[in-house]
Amino acid sequence: MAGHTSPLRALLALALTTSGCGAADLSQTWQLDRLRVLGVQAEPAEIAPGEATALSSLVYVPSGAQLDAQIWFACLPTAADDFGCSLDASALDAFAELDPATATPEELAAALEAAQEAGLIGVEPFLPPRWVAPINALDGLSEQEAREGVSALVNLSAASTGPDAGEEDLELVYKRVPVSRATTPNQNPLLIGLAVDGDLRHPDAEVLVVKPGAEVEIEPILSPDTIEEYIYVTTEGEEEVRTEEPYFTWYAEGGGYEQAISLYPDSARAWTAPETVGFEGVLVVVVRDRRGGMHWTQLHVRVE
Amino acid sequence: MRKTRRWSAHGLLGAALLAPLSAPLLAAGPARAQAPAEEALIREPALISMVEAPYPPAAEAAGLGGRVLLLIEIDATGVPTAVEVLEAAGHGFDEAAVAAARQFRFEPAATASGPVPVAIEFAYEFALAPAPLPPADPAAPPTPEAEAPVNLTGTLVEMGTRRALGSTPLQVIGADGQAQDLMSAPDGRFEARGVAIGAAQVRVVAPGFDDTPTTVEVTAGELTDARIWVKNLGYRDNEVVAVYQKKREPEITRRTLSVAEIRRVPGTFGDPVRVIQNLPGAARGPFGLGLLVIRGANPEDSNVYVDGVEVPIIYHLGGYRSVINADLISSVDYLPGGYQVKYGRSTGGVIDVQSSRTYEDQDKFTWKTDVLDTGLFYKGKPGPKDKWGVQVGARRSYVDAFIPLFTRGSEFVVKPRWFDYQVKADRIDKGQDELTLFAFGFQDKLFIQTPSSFAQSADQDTQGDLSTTYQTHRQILSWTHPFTDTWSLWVQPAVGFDAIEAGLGSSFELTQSFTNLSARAELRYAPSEALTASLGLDSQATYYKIEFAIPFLPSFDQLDDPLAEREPFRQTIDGWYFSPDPYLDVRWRPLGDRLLINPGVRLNTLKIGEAKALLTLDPRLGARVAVGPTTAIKAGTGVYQQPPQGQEFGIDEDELNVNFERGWTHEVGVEQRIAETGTLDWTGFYKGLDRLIVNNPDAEDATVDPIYVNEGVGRIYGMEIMLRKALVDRWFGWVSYTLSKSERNDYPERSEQRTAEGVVTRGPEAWYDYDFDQTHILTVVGGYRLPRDFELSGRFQYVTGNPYTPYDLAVQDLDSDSWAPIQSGAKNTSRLAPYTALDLRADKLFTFKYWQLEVYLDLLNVVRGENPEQLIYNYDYTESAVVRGLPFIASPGFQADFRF
Repeated sequence: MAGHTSPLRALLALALTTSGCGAADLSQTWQLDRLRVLGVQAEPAEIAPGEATALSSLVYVPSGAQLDAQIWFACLPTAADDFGCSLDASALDAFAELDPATATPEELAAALEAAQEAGLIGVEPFLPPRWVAPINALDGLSEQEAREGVSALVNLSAASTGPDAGEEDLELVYKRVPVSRATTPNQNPLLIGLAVDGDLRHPDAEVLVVKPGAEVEIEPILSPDTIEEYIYVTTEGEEEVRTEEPYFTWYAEGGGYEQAISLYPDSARAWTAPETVGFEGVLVVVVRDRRGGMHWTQLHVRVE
Repeated sequence: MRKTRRWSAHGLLGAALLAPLSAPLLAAGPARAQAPAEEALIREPALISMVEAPYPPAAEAAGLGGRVLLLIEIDATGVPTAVEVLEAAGHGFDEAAVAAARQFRFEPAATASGPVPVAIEFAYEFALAPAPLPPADPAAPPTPEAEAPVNLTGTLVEMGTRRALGSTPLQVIGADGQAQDLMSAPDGRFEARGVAIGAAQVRVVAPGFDDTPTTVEVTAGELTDARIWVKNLGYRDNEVVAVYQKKREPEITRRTLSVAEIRRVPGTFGDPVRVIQNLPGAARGPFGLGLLVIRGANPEDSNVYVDGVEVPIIYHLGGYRSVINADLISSVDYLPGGYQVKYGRSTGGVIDVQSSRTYEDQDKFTWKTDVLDTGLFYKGKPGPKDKWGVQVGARRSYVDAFIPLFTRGSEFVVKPRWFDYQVKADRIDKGQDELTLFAFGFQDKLFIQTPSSFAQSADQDTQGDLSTTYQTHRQILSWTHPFTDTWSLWVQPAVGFDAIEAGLGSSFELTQSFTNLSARAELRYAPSEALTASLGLDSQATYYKIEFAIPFLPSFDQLDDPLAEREPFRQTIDGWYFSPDPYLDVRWRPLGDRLLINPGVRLNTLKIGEAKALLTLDPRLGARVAVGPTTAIKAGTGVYQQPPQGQEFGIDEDELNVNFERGWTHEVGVEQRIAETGTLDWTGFYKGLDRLIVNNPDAEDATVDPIYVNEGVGRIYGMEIMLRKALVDRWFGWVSYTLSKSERNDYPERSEQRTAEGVVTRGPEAWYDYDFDQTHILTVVGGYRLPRDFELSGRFQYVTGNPYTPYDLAVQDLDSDSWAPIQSGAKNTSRLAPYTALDLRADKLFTFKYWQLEVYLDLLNVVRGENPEQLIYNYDYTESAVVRGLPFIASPGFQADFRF
């Protein structure tokens, strides 16, 4: 039968697709040239039922544009679909129809309550996002399963307006927040800065000046205790001590990277500065610990 | 006493050929052409090269004569494939006649579809003519030629092919300027008497041959013997035309092309199988990869056979080369639909590659090299008694050897390569029995070595080297034995092994192996020319073993969770599945050649593990009516069913949750012969599909719920036209056009479901164009043969772009740093721009004494359009761009043929 031909064909297709013959230039993931949500951090990173976590985001807004709002929702995985939380849009109707200029505090409160029942947990800059894991989040799970927990979901919609009329942008992202009774709950990783050609530079350090087209080796420096060991209970019921394997994603307003990802401990990446003298921009690095923890740092650069 | 040999083949051979040779002593008795074809012959076979049998010395001495009646089977190239004595004469006459008949060459018989194999009865008479009368005047002086002794002999040999030039006029001019006009014997030998001493000139004076004289030194008192090399002025004018039509079977739609045409179609690299992509009904695969998309079917729904034995793929890595050496292929049956019940397990089309069984007098060694690979091939009769014909070939690509030269400085190492081999032996002295041993195989490997510091993705488990190896091997024994005039048996057991190995980094491993024991048998009963019934068995027994190691996720509902902890998982699945499919095929000609009715039925079976066996029935009916000497109408209808494929079996072998997929095909067509060399073929078709296997949308736990269900339906309809001029009068060409529609609906019985954007994804209205639906496919191919074996050819293609699903928005998963696209329109509602391209080819044949060299240059995409092969998006689906097809490519190559 011809059935066992498909894996080879799939590999062939993959090889040709990735060969990129004739592909036009498309924007790369590391390019900061539009509204982008680069990271969302929950602090603490992993919570138990009934506990709260505060959420923060790293949003890139291009020069001249203005971030209008960030709307946050959260849900347990039972209420999620392929795009994060499955939202009942009608629950937001009352909220959307309100005119902030004329609405009474009671109308605002009622609309907010209805939206919160649908999962709304924050509207920045007015309502900082904060989520409390339902007390019954782990009901029905065995003790072992509860230690592994479930992944709740947080949705973030960010909207911006450009300098020209009608120039609006929208970003939709989601991430997971582990809810568990883990003995070693996850902590967010901590990036203390970026080492440029071996010299550690903190986020608030002065602007890095480079020559046009210069290649700069940048290494993200993690806090010494940021890579955690944790206990995982295998499907056989055995406890296993595991160590986090963080990875980094790279962004830049100009210039470029050969690769937009690096894996710890080969954390460093080379950034090539743009050829334009006078360019000023920012480089951003986001670290993920693969357990839901996230952190980021940045570096300002100028080409002279 | 003079001896004569007389021969005749009544009612078959051209009178002009027969008259001068056999007029005095035509043998009596019936003779007929026995063509296995159901289609009327429009041209009988004509003897174009005869070899005289030596008169048996003992019989000559005893003054005996005799008549031997032979049955000669002639293939579609005009070469005798078997010679049987029907009426023996004894005294050595039988052996002499058979040996001579084997060396005959015919212009093949032909039907409206092209040359076909036939069998003819042939009477060969040996008679001793009366002794010549003594000279009227014994005192009269004899003529100088008769008186002078033979002092110059020789053999005429064609350069390059080393064929003896029999019955060829030549002239010998002695040193004194006196010329003698001679005729070579059938074995190329000639004798000249009384040639003046000194430098003599020998030249052939036959049209079509170079008449440049060869100088031979004639020495006094000696017999000079010379080999005279003669150059043919147009080897390709005599090129044997093998045809895609070895056996005449009443498929409703069958495309035929000559090998001479095939080899010169640009872009095919001389590969007969790749030519299929230029025929009606064959859609264009992405990047010209050679995916078999026949009449809008999924590539996996079409089956490929070599000598009737199924093989999983027909093209090597990249699709540029078929897995069987082109020199070993005698014909390729391309059956887009309406085929007989001997073929099953497929709802799409069928391709059956037939290996060659004919052998020339000279052994041949071929060396072929182009930009892709190098191959060596031998074909000949190595034994002393010509009992066996043997073919041995091997090829290896060298892309992997060249790539490192162009990637110096890069830490990546990419090594794609293929290798194939063929070994075949045909017993060629067994009369009507056919016995063949055939082994072939191939291996394709792709290896990509990745630097350790290079992160291919954020996923730790996908870091590292990528390797995949695919291999297939087949060993086939084929035996055909006619018990009587009405009963014959064909048996073909085969052993096969297929394996796929793939690995990525340290965590992903996949090994699949399939050991196939297959057997075909067909008992044929032909009580008259009007009726043939074939009872057959197409049996497969396959042992499968699948081993895989993956970073497994602990539960089904965490498959999409990048935060889920992983555990290495390794599992081995093995077992047997059996598919012994019997079939019955009847061909009935109630009105002779004017009407053929071909009913058939096939029982499809599948038994896997302890699961309940699946049984389904495929009834099929075809008919062909000749409504005039040049026109035939054809029609067919039938059920074509395809078993679930490997990955659809499910892990639990005791439970098979899916059944056969089913297609019901109807087609009607007209074949019109235009003048002597043209044909017009029109076919309209409709195929309804149901029980298509699709993902089970209700599956929540893969360990419990069936992953697949038989819920999909489809419909494919359209028409095909092929207007063709055969390779006669120096040029050939064809225009192939397909107008078709291929649609699917995965969940027609489910309640309607829409996306937030209003896109209907389920329900009776959720029809969509299939991924390879190409409304218009136009191919124009033409070639012109210039003098001196120089040839030019070209191909133009226009193909509607493939459909695709539009996206313009995506949601980012911040944990996996990936984007999930959101459809902005229904599935496959947008289309890529059309594909257009013009390819050219030039080739030249050089002939030397002992060998011939063909050099060629393929120029691909000389003119091309935008030719988008695929639409690609940026990371968040807000930008898109097309990946264009291959650029202009100049591909030189050569083939050298040595005969000995």
